[in-house]
Amino acid sequence: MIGNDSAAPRNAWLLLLLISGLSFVAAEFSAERHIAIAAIVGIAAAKIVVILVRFMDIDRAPAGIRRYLYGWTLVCSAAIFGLWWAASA
Amino acid sequence: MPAAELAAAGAPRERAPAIWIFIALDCSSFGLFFVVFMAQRLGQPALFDHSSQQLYTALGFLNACILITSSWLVAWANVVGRQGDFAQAKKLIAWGMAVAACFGLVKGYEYYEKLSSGVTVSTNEFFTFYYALTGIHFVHYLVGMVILGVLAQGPHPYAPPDQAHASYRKWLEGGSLYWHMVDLLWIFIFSLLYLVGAR
Repeated sequence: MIGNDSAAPRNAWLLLLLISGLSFVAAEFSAERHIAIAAIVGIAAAKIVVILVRFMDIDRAPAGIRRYLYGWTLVCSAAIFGLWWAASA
Repeated sequence: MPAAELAAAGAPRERAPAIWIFIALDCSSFGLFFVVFMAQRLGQPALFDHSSQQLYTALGFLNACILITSSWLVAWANVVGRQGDFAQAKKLIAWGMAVAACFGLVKGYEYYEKLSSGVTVSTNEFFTFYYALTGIHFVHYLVGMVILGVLAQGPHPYAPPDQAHASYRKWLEGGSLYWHMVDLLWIFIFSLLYLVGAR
């Protein structure tokens, strides 16, 4: 039986599978490439935040590490999208 | 005395657990790799996109789902482990490992298929990155499987129960954090290699 504490990881798992599917669909079927890449990178960042919060319980980590990992996610996503945009210009 | 006052009075600050520092450093190394990959792509986007289209996006997606599912089972094991239900935690870790084994099979098939069709690390710059990024990630995966294998044995059977349980909780927490990092890194690797250049 899944208790309340176990429900949070389960809901996160379902959400992650769902948005992974959306990302796959965006990559394979979207006609507008800029929108597809924005969706792919945005969804990747969202998935990472869900894993950090729901699976890794990042709230238990020291504040510095917390800020660093959120910042890392943001910087990587922005760099990937920015460099893709620069290559397509 | 509040923590800020203690720090101001020269008391030692609370140190971050080593596993979090390791995760932050490892993510930084991969982050650098991601940026270098995209910077190299700037000069030859057509080659990178064409090479990316030779990968099986569906297999990358399948592996993402496998790691997410395994991560969920390990997160669940951590929740029940904190509540002291070590028998259930052991079972969930074993299931997490079983699911994760599929990642190795799929990745092995992908490597076999690519190498047997003559696509190697020296084929072009994209595939150099492909083998380097997925290879380093695969080493992390293998280390994670060993950690899960140790955790699936449960608390030390010969140590005093209190000590064994406290130690197991600590290792379960650290081991599961490491495993989630393996999952987390695959999300960016999958997006970069399989999705950005797809179609």
